[in-house]
Parts: sequence; C-alpha cells; structure tokens
Amino acid sequence: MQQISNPSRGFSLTEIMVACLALGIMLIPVFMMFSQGSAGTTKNRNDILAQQHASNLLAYATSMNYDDTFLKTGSQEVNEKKVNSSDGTEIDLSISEDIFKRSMEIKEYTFPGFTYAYKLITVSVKWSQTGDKKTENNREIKISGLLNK
Amino acid sequence: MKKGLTLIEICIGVVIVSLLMVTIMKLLGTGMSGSQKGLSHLANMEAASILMSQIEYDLMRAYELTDPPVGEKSISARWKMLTDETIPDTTATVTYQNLDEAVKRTLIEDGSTLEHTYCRGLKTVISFEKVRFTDPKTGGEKQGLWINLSVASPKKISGETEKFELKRLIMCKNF
Repeated sequence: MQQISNPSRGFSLTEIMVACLALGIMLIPVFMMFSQGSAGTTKNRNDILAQQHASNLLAYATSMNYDDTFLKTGSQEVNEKKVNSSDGTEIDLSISEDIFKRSMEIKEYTFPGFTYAYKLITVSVKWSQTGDKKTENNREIKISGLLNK
Repeated sequence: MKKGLTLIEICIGVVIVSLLMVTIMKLLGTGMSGSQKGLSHLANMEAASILMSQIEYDLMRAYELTDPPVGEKSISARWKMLTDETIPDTTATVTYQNLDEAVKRTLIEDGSTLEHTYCRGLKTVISFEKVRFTDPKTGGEKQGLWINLSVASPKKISGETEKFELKRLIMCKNF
C-alpha cells in the first residue's frame, strides 16, 4: 500500500525574514511621505518668517531720516534691533529664531547737477533649510526700498 | 495524517502578529499625528499670511489712522483710506476687530457696509499699536501700525494647540 506523504510544514526563518523585509520596504514610502510633509511645512514657515523679519527692518529703515546714523552706507548685520517710537513705545524688531541671519546693505546714488540723492536699502535674510546652524545658509530672501533726500 | 495547528501555535502566531501590528501602528500613529500637526500649522500660517497681506494692502492706502489712539494697544483698529486710485476722493473706512475665533474686517464705503471674516474657526489674538517716528530735523512724522498676530488651531483639530505668530511693522506711505 502506498503511503501519501503529507508532512506538516511551517514557515522557515528565511521566509519570515523576506516577508518582514518586503513589509519594511512597502512602509518606507509611507514614512517618507510624512517626513516630506513636515519638511515642506518647515520650509513654508521659514519663508514666511524670513519675509516678516526683512519687511519689518525695511519698514523701519525707510521711515528714518535720510541722514540718520542708522542709514550709513555699507553693509551691517542687524539681528538685534529694538526701536522706540516718538511716543516711547518700544518695538522689538529682533530676530528670535537662531537660524536666521539678517543684514542690511545701503548704497547711495547721487547724480551731478541733480538736487536729489537716493539711498537703496536692501535687507537680506539668510538661513539654512535644514535648520542646522552649522551648515551653510542655503536659503535667502532679499527685499529693497528706496529713500530720497 | 492530516494535521492542523495546535492552540499553542495559534497563540504564538497571534502574539507575533500583535507585536508587529503594535509597532507598525505606533509608527503610523506618530507619522499621522506629525502630519496632522503640520497640516494645522500650514493652515494657521496660510490664514495669518492672508490676513496680514490684507491689512498691509489696506494700510498702504490709508491716509488717516483713527484707532487705536497713540500709546494704546488694542484688539481693533480703524483707519480711513483711498479705495480707487482712478476716481479722485473715493474714500472708505476700514475696521479690523478680533472676535477670538476670527478677525472681522468691515469696510464702509458710500454708506454701504462690507464685512469679511478672516481666520474663521481658528483661535486668533491680534493687537494693534500706533507707531510714530518723528524726524528731529524736519519735524516730519511717519505713522504706522505695530501688529502682533497669533493664530492657533483648536485642540479638537490638531490634538494640541498649534500656534503661529507674526509681528509686522507696517508704515503708511500716504502721510
């Protein structure tokens, strides 16, 4: 009489490991999607904040008198800036986030025989996209304004 | 001989699957909550930016700041502005008011009132402060507003209060 062989067989360790690996690979895009979303949000947030820091300083600078000492020609870093209005109100235009570096460059333009003179005020804010202070600042926003005498 | 699974084998299988599922669900849960936080933060940023852009656009057309009075910080502001550059003397009054879960913009022009609500459904805190810079040499004065805006999601949406803050100094150009 012929005996039918029907051995009880489970999964081998290799099979289980291959299955786990396949599952892991399938989950990678899902987690990448989450991390990309988070990076996108951070990028947008930094863009908006950089724009705010640049606009605030430019608004203040263009409100000053043409000959004000703050508007001396050349380039200067302006990360900390507290100003007082004529009524004594203190306005803190400082940058509270460490990742941003703000600078202001002023160039003066005068034309022979022309009574008016102009100052071109350019405010730039630089920061690192990854938020790491050690890495190079690879993002920059620049805005300019004109002041006449 | 036909052989099924024993109770012990099933139990071990269930435990292994449960452990795997718990790990995966935890990872997914962390990812989902991070994603949810990011989304609500994005919504807050978008709402705050839209409102601030509208305020800036209105202030650029202002010719008289009525409220708040000098030296006072207020949750509302009002000013008179030009509405149409092509038609002379077309003016309107605009008011911004914080409603805690929105900021209302009211435009009164030619007796008609137009209302818009910004940051609807979000926790909003806004303050306006009038700023004046006087030129000591010429005596000329420039006016503007120092605006602090904070927009946060309600806890039921993000699980925790996601907050986005903007501070803007906007100087008027018309006076």
